[in-house]
Amino acid sequence: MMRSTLQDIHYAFHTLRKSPGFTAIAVLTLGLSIGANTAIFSVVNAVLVRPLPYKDAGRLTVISGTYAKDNVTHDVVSYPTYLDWKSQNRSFEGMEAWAGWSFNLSSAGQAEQIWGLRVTPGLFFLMGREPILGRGFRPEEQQPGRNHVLLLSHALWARRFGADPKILGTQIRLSADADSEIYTVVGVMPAGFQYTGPWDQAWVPLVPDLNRGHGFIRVVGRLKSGVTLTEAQAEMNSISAQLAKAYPRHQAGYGANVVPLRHEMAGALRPVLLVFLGAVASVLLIACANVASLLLARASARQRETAIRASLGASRRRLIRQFLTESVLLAAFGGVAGMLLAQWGVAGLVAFLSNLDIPIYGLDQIRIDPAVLEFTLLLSLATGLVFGMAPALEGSRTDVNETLKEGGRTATGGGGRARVRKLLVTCEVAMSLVLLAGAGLLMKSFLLLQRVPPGFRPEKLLTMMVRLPDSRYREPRKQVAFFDEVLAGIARLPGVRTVGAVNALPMSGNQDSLSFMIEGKPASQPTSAGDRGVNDGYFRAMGIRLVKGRVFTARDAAGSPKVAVINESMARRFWPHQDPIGQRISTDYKPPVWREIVGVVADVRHSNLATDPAPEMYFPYQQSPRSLMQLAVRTEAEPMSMANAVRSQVFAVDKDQPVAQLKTMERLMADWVAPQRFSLMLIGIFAALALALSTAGIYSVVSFAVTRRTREIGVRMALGADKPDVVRMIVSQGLAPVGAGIILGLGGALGFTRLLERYLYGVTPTDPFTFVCISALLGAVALVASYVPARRASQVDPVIALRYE
Amino acid sequence: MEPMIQLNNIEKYFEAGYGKTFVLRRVTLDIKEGEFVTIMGPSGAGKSTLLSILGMLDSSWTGEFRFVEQPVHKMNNKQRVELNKKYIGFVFQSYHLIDNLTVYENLDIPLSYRNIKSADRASMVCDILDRFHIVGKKDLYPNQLSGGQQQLVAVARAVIANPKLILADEPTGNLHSAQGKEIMELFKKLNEEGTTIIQVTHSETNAQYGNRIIQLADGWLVK
Repeated sequence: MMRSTLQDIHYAFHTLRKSPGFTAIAVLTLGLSIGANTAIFSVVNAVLVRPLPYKDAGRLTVISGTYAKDNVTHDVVSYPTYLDWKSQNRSFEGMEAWAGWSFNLSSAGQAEQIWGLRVTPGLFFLMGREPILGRGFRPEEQQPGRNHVLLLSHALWARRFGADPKILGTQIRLSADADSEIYTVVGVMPAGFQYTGPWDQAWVPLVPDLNRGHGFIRVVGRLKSGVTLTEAQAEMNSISAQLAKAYPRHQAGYGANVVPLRHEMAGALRPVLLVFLGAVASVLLIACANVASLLLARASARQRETAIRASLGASRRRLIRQFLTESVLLAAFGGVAGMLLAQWGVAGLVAFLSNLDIPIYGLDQIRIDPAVLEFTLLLSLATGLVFGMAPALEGSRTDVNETLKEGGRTATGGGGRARVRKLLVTCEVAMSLVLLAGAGLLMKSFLLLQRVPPGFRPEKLLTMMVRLPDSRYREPRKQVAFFDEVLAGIARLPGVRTVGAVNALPMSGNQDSLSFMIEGKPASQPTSAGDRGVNDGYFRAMGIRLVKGRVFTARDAAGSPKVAVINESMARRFWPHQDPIGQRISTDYKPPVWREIVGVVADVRHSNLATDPAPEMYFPYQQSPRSLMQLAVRTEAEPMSMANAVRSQVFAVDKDQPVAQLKTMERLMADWVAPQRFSLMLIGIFAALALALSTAGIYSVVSFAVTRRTREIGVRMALGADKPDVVRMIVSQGLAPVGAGIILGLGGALGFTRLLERYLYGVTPTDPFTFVCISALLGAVALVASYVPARRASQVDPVIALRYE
Repeated sequence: MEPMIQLNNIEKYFEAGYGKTFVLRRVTLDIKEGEFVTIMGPSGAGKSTLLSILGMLDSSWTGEFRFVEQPVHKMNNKQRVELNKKYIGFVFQSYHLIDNLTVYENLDIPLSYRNIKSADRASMVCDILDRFHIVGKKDLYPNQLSGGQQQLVAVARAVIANPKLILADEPTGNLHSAQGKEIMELFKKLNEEGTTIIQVTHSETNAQYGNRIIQLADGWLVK
């Protein structure tokens, strides 16, 4: 057995070496698709499969607040709710809480903004990870005044403090929302420990807020051994029901949602990755169909060889084994090529994902590791068996007598193989159409999104964020003075046209809204709108059009009459049949502080291009001071070239104030469409690959048919067929399986494109235009792929063709 | 009345090295309508090549060729295909029926290339099936027929479009003598009904069915 297997492998090597063209095409086809699968799997492995770096990570869960009425499933909860969950449950071994946090770090170098977490002291123990240096938090360090202790991430410790082993006890000056300044480093966490993502750079103790109405924390729990997720969910439902009865004002309608930590960390990336995995698997199936088709053609050409082997005593089983050995060997070569291609693919994916500027858990873990290697090995083996099975079964079925009697003439017979090959083309086209439809919808959606006017001019606009600590800038006049000085300094810089400032810049992710009342209307119906504190140059710097009235001027100072500018959406909604100019609104209730509307400006897409503008009200920041402002600097040259000059103006006013999120507005906008662009790029690549493979498949089937039917074509020409008749015949027969594939594919596409719905803008998942265009594209490509061999067929010289006899 | 076929100095050759290898040399020949001509000669004499030229399948030759008073040598390929469609039927040694088509469909092929309405085509196929007594075989595939039956279908296919000329290349070459005789009788009958027939054969017996024998040797017309 062993000897005969080795003989099969030796023979397979020999056969593949004798057909270098076929071998190269098959290996390249398989290499591309196996490589794409390996690259995507390496991301899936890092984000969805690889065990989390915590003790018994399978038992870790996230427990979120839910509010069924608004369909909210992942809400923050209040500290008292967390305490109730923790004390009343029997399903969890432990339950801890955390909340997001950011601060300005100004020690040991230039000031910068750092993201971190406020955590309950037991969180690290619950996760099974302890500091590599120093200690974790103590329960008493949750008390205000004793909470000025800090744990550093390994990355921050290395980057900012040179991995100084004597860091413990070092006092660091921090400026955060709270007015604390000096924190003592008590520990350093291990490398790679990141709870919410790579942005976790430091941790401080969570100071409880016992207001049940203030939801701000998230809860993580470890299930007791043997307790299932369903049991834990049932218990949390019952606890929520009890809390709703006990605290109807704050808890009525609220529930709890228990989700494995793994799912929670993958977040929105999970469904996307699964879609990609499906798409890339389709590409592999198409490649399998293609190689199977090539092998079937070869089986026809090798009919005589197979018949001779059978006549010499080879059993059908042995013949099948011989064919399968060749297939698996081809797949193994494809696997090696795929692995090499995947190296580049993974590097490209990681670079692209890193550039997205969104937290992706496991991003730094994406690589080709033993698990990925194992996946590729198994995939290659399975691929070899999948594409090799049909040719092996077909190729080994031979009528020895007939084949040898015909003297090896291959121009007849092989009808069964031809049918199988046509069926493969149908499947290839169907799968390609599914992917192309997805890519088409994403493309249309992306183009529509690019055409949406944002309401401002994003070009040559440099943006940044400055957050003033309450400790030194608690008084509004200090905040105003700081920004007045910074803005004046930036405005004086050569190359700066205008400079604007606002508390929440469009596309920045910052949202602020306030409820307000309208003079003369009952206050019992509170309404809300986006709250923007701006400087007088903001509208000009952003290029926001004035529709009516006026924008702010330097005269709208702190002590001047209070004024407001609103956007068109707000004007339409609250004064549909009236002129809003001269109307008065107040964001204060007891007592009202009335602000007169002096202007209406054009709508701006604040959240992102896909979200319709909402009502917004603008106030002069001198009359509505803020500690956090975002600057928009309109420059004459490339905006980033001004970055250092602009930053130095902030440092000139206060050297401890970091400038965060220094980006061009175009980059901010690109970041918002980055997930769509990423999906489009990957699905587009897969679709293009699928289209190329299908085209090659169609070409190969038609081309082979032409070769097989040379004699028939000669006969037809002798009987009166002219060239167009021959072209028509070959093309129509080539297009028949394509037509069937398109119909089948349209059905599949209707299902697939629904998975993409959340990434679509301005186009439905069943957009008829896209489906028609994609079908036409596939039809046209198939026409060309059939026409080329058909044209060759029409050149057949009947005299030569008939001489085959 | 002019002959149906007039060949004047027809030559065909292949470039070979520094010279030319001639397949046909200065062939000059007239064939009248209604003749039954046999072309004979050893292998490689140029018999099949001459038949291909007469059937408009081969266009790379020199000389003058007039067919039913039309100058073929001045025609382009498309015009030659039209002449073929209108006047000529072919019978081959290996029958050359199309494997994946039934007898009925094989008979329909020549009609499908001649812009004939499908209803008319159906009636013509039925007529020919009846005439050749092969109605019972109409749904069979070629591999379900004997060699003689296949050649019978091939002859039926050659005559279905009412050609004035039938070109037959070794029509009985793959048949045993009884089947061969049957086919030759059929040709004779078709000739008596007015169809001009040109056959290539090695068989002296088959040659006797015709009324003129042309001998080729090394591309030259020798008799």
